[in-house]
Amino acid sequence: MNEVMVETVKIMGIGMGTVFFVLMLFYVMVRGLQIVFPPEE
Amino acid sequence: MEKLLEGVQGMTWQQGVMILVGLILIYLAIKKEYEPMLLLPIGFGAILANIPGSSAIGEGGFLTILKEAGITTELFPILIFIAVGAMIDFSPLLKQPVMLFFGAAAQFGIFVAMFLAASTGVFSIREAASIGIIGAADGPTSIYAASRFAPNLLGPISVAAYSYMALVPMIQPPIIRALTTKRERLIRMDANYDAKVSKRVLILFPIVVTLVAGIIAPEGVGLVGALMFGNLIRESGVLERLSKSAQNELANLVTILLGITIGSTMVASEFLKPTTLLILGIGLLAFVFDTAGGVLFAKLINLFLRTKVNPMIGAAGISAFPMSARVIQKMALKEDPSNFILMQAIGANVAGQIGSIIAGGVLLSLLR
Repeated sequence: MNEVMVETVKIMGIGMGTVFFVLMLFYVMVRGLQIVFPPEE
Repeated sequence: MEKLLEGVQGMTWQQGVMILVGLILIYLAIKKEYEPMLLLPIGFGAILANIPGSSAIGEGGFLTILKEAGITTELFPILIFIAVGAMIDFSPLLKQPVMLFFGAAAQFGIFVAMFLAASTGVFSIREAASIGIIGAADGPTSIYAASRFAPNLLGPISVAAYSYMALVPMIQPPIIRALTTKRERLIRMDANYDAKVSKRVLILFPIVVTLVAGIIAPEGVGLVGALMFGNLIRESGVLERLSKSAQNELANLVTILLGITIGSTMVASEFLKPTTLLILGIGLLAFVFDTAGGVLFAKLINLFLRTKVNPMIGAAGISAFPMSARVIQKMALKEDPSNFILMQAIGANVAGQIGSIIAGGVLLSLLR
């Protein structure tokens, strides 16, 4: 595998991992916000 | 007389082909109603750009001026995102935040397409990333990335992104059927219709998302910030007039300008190259792998869940909103006319909108 392909695979891994990590953070944040601010009756 | 015939004499077969492509796009927009708001202006822009000696492009041409002002500066995609943000209701997602994970999984196609484009050896890594972002299923993100990393490929990338978004009803169902069993497609899900979301959460969500996404991928702040700004205008409850303007006047105006300007980038000498076919092919695969990524992720988490999710929901994690959610609901109803999974599909679809922008921002940050 040449250098460009190695770099591409690295970006694929970091990129997909970061997308999952960020959306997981959003999940935790939303859950947290819903606990702090429960729906008004 | 000779001067009047210059146009006819100067016409090349390549320009003829591109004018025909423009006419086909207009036909698809009017007759088939495939994304007419985009395909019609794109088709007409392509015709204007390929008339021999056209004064619409080149020095002083209005389409070139629009391109310089709105595409090169990335202004049009940003303005579109403000409008889209004002249109999106995040409450279906906030009622079932677990859908966020589908919005992540369905970005798989972006990275696979990037890998495929890089492996051809034809494109640089930045160009490959721009091609991969076709898989964001999100026109403005594709334009934003291409204008930064591959301005020479802007025409084919935007045409591929918008065309495949229009073709979601044809692209997704066969892949979903191939990857799921009938029994899986019949799974019912609790829609949680009665769940409520606090007004404060709706207001804080766009602010917190902007801060977190911006800190992690600062290159994507333009995209995520514009989307969330539009959403904050909507949810604030004190800017109804601005919210309506963003949803209507701003969205309509920029869509007209963006479409015709993108069409004008389809100049024969730039567009009719083997690389265009390659981009169109890889772009299609990006949508295929997005769909597969979402469905397979749903099947994977089903291995661990007691209450199973309908794996078709995973496919709605792409950003083509609300088309993908509608496709999934239609497929569910075909299997069982009393199975309604639209709310879940919309939640995943909205998550896909966020996921695609995050993926775009991450790539922009990694390759800056």
